[in-house]
Amino acid sequence: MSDPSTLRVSGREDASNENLKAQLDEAAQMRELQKLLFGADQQARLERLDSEWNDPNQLAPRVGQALPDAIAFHTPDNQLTEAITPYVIESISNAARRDPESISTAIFPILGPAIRKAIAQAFNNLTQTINQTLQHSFTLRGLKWRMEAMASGKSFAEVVLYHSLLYRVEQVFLIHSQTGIVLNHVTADYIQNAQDADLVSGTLTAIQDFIKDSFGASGGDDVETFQLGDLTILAERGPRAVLACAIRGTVATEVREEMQKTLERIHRDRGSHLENFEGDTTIFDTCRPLLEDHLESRYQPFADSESSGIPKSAIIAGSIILMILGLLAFFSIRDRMRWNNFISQLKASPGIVITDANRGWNSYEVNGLRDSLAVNPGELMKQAQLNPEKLIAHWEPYQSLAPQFIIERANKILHPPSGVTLSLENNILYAAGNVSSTWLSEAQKIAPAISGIDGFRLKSSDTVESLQKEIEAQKILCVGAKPASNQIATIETIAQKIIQLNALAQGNGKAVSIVIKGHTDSSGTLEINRTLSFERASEVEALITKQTGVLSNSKISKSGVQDQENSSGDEVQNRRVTIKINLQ
Amino acid sequence: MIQKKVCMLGSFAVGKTSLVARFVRSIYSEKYHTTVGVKIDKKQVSIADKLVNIILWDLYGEDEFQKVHLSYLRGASGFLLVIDGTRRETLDKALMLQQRTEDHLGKIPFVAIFNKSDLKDQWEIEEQTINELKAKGWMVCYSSAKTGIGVEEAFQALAGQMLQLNGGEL
Repeated sequence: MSDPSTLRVSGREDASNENLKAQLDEAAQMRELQKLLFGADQQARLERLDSEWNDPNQLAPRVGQALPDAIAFHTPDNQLTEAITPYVIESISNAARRDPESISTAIFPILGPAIRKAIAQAFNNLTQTINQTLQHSFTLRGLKWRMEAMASGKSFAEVVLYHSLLYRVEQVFLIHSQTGIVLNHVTADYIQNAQDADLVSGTLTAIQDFIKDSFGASGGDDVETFQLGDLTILAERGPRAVLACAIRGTVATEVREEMQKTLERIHRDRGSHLENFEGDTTIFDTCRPLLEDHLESRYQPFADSESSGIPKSAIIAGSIILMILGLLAFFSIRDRMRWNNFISQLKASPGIVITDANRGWNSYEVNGLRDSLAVNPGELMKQAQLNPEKLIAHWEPYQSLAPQFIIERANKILHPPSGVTLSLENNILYAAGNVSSTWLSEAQKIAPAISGIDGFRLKSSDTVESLQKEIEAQKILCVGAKPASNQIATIETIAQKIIQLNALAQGNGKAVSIVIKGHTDSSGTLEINRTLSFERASEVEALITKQTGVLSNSKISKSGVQDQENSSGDEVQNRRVTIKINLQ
Repeated sequence: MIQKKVCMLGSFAVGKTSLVARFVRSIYSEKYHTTVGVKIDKKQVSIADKLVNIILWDLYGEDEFQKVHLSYLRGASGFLLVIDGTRRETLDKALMLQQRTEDHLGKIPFVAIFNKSDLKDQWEIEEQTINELKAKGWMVCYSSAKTGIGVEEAFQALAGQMLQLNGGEL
């Protein structure tokens, strides 16, 4: 709406302007109409409102009062946001240009978490990259770490990083950034002769200033890392204080993250003290536990084992393959050990000579010589827990000269009588026990023909001389022309001893002459007694030769004689037969 | 304990470092001056039963080749202004440095030390000039690096000023 008074003045100054005059008339008419419609009071109110509306000094407070409610009740569409966004952006940009320190101080509490989140995301991506890079690396170390990851339940990347990141934080400084004064300082127990923290802190601050001055860094930039060999100084700067850590080894990312958290907390808890710092550091003694927390090396788990990048099915399949390979290796090693054991036993067995032995994938092959009397290799295989059906053996027959085989062959060929045992000493076969002269004779002929036997002898504890005495001490009492019935056993004993004597004498190279002598008492005529004594000798000879058979080394002769009694009763003892042995 | 950052300023070769060498705890060699331009030392002062730990930033003497790094002044609670009594131009430089420091940090306590008091016969600075400075409110000490006289007093005087300013404790 136009101001009527202004129009009126204009109308007087420019009365020639017809259009303006018409407008004035129209305005005057309008005012008249308003007076008629609203009355004089209302007209004054309208004029006051009009005046307030056109005066910024009056309008601003009123709009200011209503603006918060107006914004709160604005329509849900984005019109208001869209309208003010360019101005907000421009305002922040201007403020950042003019006073960056204030802006960075204001947003510091939210900047830290945001940066940490971004770094965590980047680090997670890095972890994945390492996973992908290393998951196909089948180096010995890679496999070892993978086994460790499987055993510990951690992801492969965690294990790799765990081995990569070995460090220790040796000193921690909390420094007032404005003055470079140490607010608090902690040192690890194992650090000896640490330099004066005040001087180190001051110099560290000076060096940072020096680098910034020398290379023209802007206000917000700071030297964050100093590196000397394996020693690293990490400096984390806040608006009012700097947290610096002296770290030996490879610095892990989480160290800086933890430093940021600590610094933020100190700023939050001690912000006003930092801002109004006048040199009294005792206020910051309570920060000591926070700094001490940094002295230990800590390893945070980065990701769940699900992020290892290797499908579980692949791990299971790999495990099964490993198990199968392990089982195969186990059976193969066990089979090899059994096979070696079997071959050792076979080689130790008499009558077997192995020329070649091979163990195949599913069979065994042995070539060699084997005595028919030797152990059955199949039985040995069973004892060694191997399957005999898998054995392919090529045996050339031969005769072993092992003593037990010679004796066994001699037993098979000579068939010694029951009670007779054979033994071998220096290739001489010995027979022990009661033997018949017939068998003895046969054995003496056959035995030397057996492989490994050079001679055959009777084995006895008696000697030729002792047997001779024993035989000659015997007397066979007779009744009539024949030996008494109770003398048959004596005759058999004598016959057996004669056999032994004959064999022993033969072994000694001596011939035996046996004289069987019949005796009578003195009763009767000499003629009759001579006949009777000879008959008695003949009877005994017949009985003895019946036992001994033909003795190849002995010659038997007979004689008769009449004896005289020296006293009464000698007659019975004189009716006898005696034997005399002569060795030549 | 109260800790205060104090800078030591002065022209080249006025004897700043020699002046305090026997009074401060130092772990760094002189080469820090020529490399970084500052050497940090520590001095403990007891004043009115209070211990004050002075972290002394011994700044490289300004000459035509190297200017003082003003960033080193940041956060200083006071400064020592060292002048060689035998060289008039070192006073001019000190005046300039004092002004520059005041521009950079505002008014902070300082003590002007006229060094080489053992060579008074060679002095180029008149007593009247020094009195004029005193009249301007400067706190002035005389010292000798050779004898060590006056250094302790300079530190005491500065510490007293600093504590008075900060809390009116003296």
